[in-house]
Amino acid sequence: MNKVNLFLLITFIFQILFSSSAFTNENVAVSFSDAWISEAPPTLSVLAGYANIHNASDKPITLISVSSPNFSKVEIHRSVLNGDMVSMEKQESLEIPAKNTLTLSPGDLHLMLFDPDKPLRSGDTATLNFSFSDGHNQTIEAKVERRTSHDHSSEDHSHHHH
Amino acid sequence: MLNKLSNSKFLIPAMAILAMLATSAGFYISVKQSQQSQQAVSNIEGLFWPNPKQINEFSVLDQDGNGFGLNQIKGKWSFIFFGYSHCPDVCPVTMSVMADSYKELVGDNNDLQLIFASVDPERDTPEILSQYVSYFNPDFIGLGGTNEMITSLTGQIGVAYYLNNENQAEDYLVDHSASIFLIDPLGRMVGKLSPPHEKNKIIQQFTTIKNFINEQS
Repeated sequence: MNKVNLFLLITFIFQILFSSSAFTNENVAVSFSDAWISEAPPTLSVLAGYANIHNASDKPITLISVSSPNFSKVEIHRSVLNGDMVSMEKQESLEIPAKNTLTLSPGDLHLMLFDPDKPLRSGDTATLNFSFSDGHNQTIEAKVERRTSHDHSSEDHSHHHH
Repeated sequence: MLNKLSNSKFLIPAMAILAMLATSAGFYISVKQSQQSQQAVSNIEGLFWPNPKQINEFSVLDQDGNGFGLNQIKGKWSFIFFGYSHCPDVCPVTMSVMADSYKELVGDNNDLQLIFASVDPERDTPEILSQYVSYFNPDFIGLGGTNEMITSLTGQIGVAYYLNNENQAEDYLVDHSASIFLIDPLGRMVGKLSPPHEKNKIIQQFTTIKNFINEQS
């Protein structure tokens, strides 16, 4: 009886492990943290969005597009400093390496959010929909925030607001 | 009398020796000083010295549509950043850091002014400029005008800017300088603060450069 019970228990645990890992691979391999949109003067038609994108799987994942019901268009850009000159380069896709995190942050990779449907102020949220090359989509809410300077960005604030 | 005469005989060579000593000492001190100030120059990051560029007359418009030129920068320390309001990433970060630095510096520096000069005359009308700069600090000055007006300033400072991806008619981007330029009260471009911009770095660099310039005059 004990041996049978033990066998059943092991089988049961194995099934849980197996099914949960399969679940991870298909659906929650990608997760987001500290997603925020930089508050801007109300007349502006372009805003910037930032987030950390985690890939828990052991395969690279490619972000191919971002859309939003709150903006007419979303593009992925990178600010590039070349000597004294700064320019923005549009990215057609972004690869998130296996078991790694891709950070979108001020002065680097960011989302260009065009024509908000209403003026966005600190505390508002907007919906962002991320599409990946494996065909899956993920929708998150990003909070509009006014982060005053580089000196106190990301980590500290995520604790305050989340 | 004899004593005094004999003394005076010694006095002349003694004075000559003293004079030589004094001269060489003076020379030594001046060499030492110039070495020190040379050293100081090389240690100050972003300082343009000994030949800072003198800014000549220029003619742009401020955010209220009033003329703005050399007279408006004379007698003040000016921070100038060239950007455009439709730049969502680098410009707001730079503007925020400038505003934060200004808030801390303005108590001890009542002759300080913050300037945002737009390199996007097409979209940055005085109205948009006004709302844009005051969002970061009500004291911020926004400069714009026609393309020709803007180049009367950018040409002298030596910053380039050009339109990027013009095929996107409405959402075009502008490549521009990421530095903050520092103009002294005599209208001389005495420094350049390079990115990445951080409040404490800006405060420290500005204070060092200002103290150095004040010591020179």
